[in-house]
Amino acid sequence: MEIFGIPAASLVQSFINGLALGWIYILIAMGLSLVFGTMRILQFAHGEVYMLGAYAVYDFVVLHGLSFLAAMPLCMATGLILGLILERFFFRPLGGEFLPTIMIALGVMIVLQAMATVGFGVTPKSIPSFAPHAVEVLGLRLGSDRLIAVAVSIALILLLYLFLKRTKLGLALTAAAQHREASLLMGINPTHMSVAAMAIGSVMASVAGGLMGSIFPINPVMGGTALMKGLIIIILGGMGSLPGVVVGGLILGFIDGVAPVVSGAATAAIAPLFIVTIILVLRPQGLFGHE
Amino acid sequence: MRDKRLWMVSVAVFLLFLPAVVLLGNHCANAAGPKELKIGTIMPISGPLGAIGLAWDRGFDLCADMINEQGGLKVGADRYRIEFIHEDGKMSPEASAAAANKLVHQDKVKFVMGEIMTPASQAIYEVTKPAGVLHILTYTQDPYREDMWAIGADTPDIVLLMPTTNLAYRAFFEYLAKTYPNVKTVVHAESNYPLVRIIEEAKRAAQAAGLQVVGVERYDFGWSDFYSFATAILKHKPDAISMEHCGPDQAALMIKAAREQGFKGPIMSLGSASAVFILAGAGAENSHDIMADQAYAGDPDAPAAMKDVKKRWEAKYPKEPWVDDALMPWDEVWVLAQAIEKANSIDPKQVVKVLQSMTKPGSLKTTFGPGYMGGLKTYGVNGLLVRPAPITVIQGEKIKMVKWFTPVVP
Repeated sequence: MEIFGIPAASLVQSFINGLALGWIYILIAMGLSLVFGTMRILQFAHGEVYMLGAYAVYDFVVLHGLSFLAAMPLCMATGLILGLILERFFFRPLGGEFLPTIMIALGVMIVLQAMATVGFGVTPKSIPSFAPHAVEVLGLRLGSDRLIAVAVSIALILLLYLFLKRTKLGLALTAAAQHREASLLMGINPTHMSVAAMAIGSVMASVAGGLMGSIFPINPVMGGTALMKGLIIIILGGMGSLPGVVVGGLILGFIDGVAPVVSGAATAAIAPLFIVTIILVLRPQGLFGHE
Repeated sequence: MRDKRLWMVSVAVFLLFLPAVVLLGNHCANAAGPKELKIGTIMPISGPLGAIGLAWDRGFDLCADMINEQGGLKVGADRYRIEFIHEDGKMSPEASAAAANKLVHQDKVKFVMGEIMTPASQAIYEVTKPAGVLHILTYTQDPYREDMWAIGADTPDIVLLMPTTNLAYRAFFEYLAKTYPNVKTVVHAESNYPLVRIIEEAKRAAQAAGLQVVGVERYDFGWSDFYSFATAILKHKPDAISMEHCGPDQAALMIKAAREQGFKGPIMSLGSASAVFILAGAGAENSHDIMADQAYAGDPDAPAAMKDVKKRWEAKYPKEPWVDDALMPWDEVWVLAQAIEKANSIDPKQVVKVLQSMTKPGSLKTTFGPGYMGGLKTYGVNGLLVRPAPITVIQGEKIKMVKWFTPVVP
């Protein structure tokens, strides 16, 4: 059976592969949304945190011989340290000024890319897959590494959800994101919230990088694509909405999986932007955002 | 009074002789030092193929250094030092056209080399042709011009100074059949340019080697995820896979996806990046029984000329790892230099005429071995460099050029 001239099995397989990658994009977008919601800054260097997370795993696994399982906590630590450095020394001194923050973030993005290029070279690198085999489900072949990446992403997202809803710090973060001045009046320290948001966001980005790095080759400019996807997701889903980020990520994953096969890579590249444009025209706050 | 007259005479003499001194000095300077020959290059030095484009620019510069160290190109009584002007083609026709305009009309180059993507090369040609500048192609996806444009009788001011990928089919399929006698069936994976003739050529070459092509799968050149594609290939249950025209990441991704889905047979990768790039992208654990059509200068048995290029790279760019792709631009410059010296002229029309007349085997020196210009029957013009090419095998971390062949180009 064929759909749009493509064998149905191939289409379904591409759809599922795309959804699997979509869950990794959601990790990136969650971090970006958290930082934007709390600090009111567009963290353009978020893609580079993702990229350095991938290189951290490469360094620990390939150059130092650690297992993937041992390397992931170190990857998270790398993301955490990087996030804290960025918040303390680059964003906090600007006091939340919008334009200077964008300029600084762009500058940091370029510097981190250059550092990765100098440190690791421009040649793509490969991290051995942590699960290099496929499972067959209902006649479809799915990469074990992708399935595990989905499970890890879902677990982290659930953890984040529980943290934001059930812990004091999480509730404070949510409050700070909803209304900064009101939360200040309630005694919530905005600086502590910024540190927490940046730390959590950077850890999520670096984990996403580590997971993606074992599926695809890594290179110093991979962060740009990740940032673009993160932005598309949070615009699609709605700024500050966790369910929105999940739905936006799955929509993007679907497009990324199916569009290249049905209509070619060129259409697949512009389809998400086209959809974002339509969404912004019809519903500017995104699918789940508040007006 | 007398002093004043003496002073005026001295000034007059000085003024009379000054132009003579200047002219003489100029002549001496020209006679003593070489002139400059500017050559433009348009390669994708940013974007996904940036690493390849940069390696090409390095290769161009290294050959220019070699020629300049020897005093430059000898053209009549003059010597010409080669100076390259590198521009970024970005794999895009718009950027390549803008770069070509700058090189041709502002920098006044006589020769332009580039680009990797055929549409970008075509955009360059739209600029070089009316200006009488020789365009030296650095790659073509479509040598038979089924959909795109390339060398031909109606484009005499283009030459392609490297063999096209399809010329390797026969040698590769023969090697595959001989080395893996249990391999009987192959799936051919080709990019989705309308390359019907190329695919038919691949099928014929496979059949001639006693192999059956059980399927042809097409992929989009811009894809970044090949998992489903690998599944589609493996549905044919082939003993071997032959892939063509992939970018460096794509070849690695296809190999990785196929291996992760349990495929253990040999994989041929033609027209893609060097073996080093494939190994870096696919990982050593997936890179066994891979055959590639690019040279590997790190092979201890590589030709001395290849090793020399690698040594020069390591001396000039000690912090940048060597990239085998640099061999091809080196040869393009070297062949052009030989043609210029034989033509005794830097006039592009003269040079291309002489180059296209160098059809005797061994007329041209390359790092791969002796070459010549061919393709009259196939393309209507002797616009293609024919020279030996290796079959490079990757087995885990080990890369080796196991066999050499010279393609036959009617």
